[in-house]
Amino acid sequence: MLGTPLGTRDYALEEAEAYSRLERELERTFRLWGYREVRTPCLESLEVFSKTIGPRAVDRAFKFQDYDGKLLALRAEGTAPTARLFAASLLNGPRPCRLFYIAKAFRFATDFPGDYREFSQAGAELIGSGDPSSDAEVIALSIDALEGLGLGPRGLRVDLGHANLIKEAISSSLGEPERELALDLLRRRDLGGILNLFERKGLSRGAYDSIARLLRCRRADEFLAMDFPIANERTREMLRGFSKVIEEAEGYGIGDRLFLDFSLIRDLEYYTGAVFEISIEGIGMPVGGGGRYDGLVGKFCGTDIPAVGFALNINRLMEGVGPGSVKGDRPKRVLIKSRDRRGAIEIARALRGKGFAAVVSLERNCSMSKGPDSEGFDFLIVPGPGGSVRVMDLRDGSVEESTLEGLLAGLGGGGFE
Amino acid sequence: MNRRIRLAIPSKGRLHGPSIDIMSRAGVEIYPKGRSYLSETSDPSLEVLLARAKDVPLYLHYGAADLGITGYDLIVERGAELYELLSLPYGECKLVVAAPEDSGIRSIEDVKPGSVVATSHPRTASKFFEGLNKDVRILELEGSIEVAPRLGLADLVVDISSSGETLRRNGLRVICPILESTAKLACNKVSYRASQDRIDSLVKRLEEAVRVMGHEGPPRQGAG
Repeated sequence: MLGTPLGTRDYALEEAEAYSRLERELERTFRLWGYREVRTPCLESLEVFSKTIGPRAVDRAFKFQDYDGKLLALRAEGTAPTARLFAASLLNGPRPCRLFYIAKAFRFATDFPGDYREFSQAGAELIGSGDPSSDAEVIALSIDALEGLGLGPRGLRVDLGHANLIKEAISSSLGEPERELALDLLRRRDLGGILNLFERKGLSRGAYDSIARLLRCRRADEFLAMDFPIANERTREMLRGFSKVIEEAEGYGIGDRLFLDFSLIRDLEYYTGAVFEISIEGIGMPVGGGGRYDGLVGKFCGTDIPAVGFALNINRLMEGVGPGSVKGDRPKRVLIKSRDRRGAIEIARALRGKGFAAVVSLERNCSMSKGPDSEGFDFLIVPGPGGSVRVMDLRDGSVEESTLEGLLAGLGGGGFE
Repeated sequence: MNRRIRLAIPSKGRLHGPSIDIMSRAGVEIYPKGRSYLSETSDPSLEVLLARAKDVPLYLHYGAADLGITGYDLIVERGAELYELLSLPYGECKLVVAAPEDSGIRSIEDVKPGSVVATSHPRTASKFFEGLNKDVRILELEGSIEVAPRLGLADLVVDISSSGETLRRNGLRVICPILESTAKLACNKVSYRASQDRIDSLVKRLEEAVRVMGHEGPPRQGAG
């Protein structure tokens, strides 16, 4: 039996339906917040990623040659292509510009079964504003999108960090080779390792302490009340901007979902300011993340345009949510059995017009009974003489006599459950 | 959110005893329950999952366990992205490249392209040789790596060594270290964020235990 390649999987029937519902719910929230859809190709010039997402992430892109020898990549993530599209087509439009996409992305991953090489992202990007209120808006949108899926009560939280604050604090103390090592230790939150490194380099305990205090700080109010001795103008400026993002986020009433984690380092290198990851209790990996990327659009149009956004990993959400738990809009399914095919086709057409999923049985046997062909249906209809119909509710086996009109009224209108 | 924190501890091997010991020093007694894979502890908010040290990074990666004790070499080998909250003072070892004394391989430069490398750390070994632009073939073995060259299975090995004694006894010479490892308390990132206060308090108690052990001299160690 031929399966799918490593890091990919099939979704069938209920699972595929749940997948689509999840995408539709996310899309609905994005639209309600005034974000408009963009679609970019699965194939991009490798350059779109090589000059934006950083070597770690580019290493993991699927790369190959076009017929003419140009280097291409499968979409490795959604933000860089959206920035490219903005620079190419929307540069002269109104700003700020609010965009969203739901698209597949492809990356080499470890061979852990839960790490997908093909995955779907639902992303939103707010381009053209550097105001902290735009950071707060996208964070609040990410929370609203997940609350819309019913995930609010499941320990939904956003952890907020800064792409450059700790890096700046570390680079001002350490030289180039140690800097990489320190960032690696930071990524693993190995405070003991960082302390050892600082001691080996003969740095003051104070330099380590201010970094350790930042790393231990978890609550926004704690952070706002803190006085940091990280003494240089750039880090002070970053701290000021970061505090404003937190204050603006409070305005959305999401304070109780917002936590700080300054060891949060995103794999993508285009981030320049606040960065965040979104987690749900019971799903072992973050379900999404994002942040500010003020230099990214400029890579495609030459002028820096501030922007901020995020993406949710739909496959991971699917794992956590499972089929059936996303609010459904599955139409009721009706099977029509009749020797009079023309009549059955008419009934099916009338039912579809009312929003039912209607199937005309291909079997010649027209008995009013459950069978293998009625599996997965909610109702079985067998038309009788003179416009009468018999309807079996397949969920409880009850049978009723009616007319087509009576049936359409009796099955509950729109047909969606 | 007062879900129990699940701590994965090596069920056997050289990390098992010292891990039980250090948890006890941190005030957590583990009560194994028959054949159940989960054990109660003296701390009602903490349960223990006994698992193979090699599998602990995987459990943590998925969030099947929140916290775990395992070797740093195993975290690197599994490629798991975890928080490494504390280095523990046992399980010290090195992952090294070693070659038969009579092979003429004295340094990494002497390794010929196409050489076969026996190891139980295939990912780390591949990365190491790739980084040096050395084209080698990796032979993954589960144990007794050190006998592979004598059996004609491999030209050299990438293996764990505590004192170098096992390698020497098998006629192997260390030619290059790859990484230094120790036992680590590692943590799933989402779990850490969700339960930081409780996890930090356990880390603090373990840190104190590590400090006290430092004053007592070297901890007891299994042979390696």
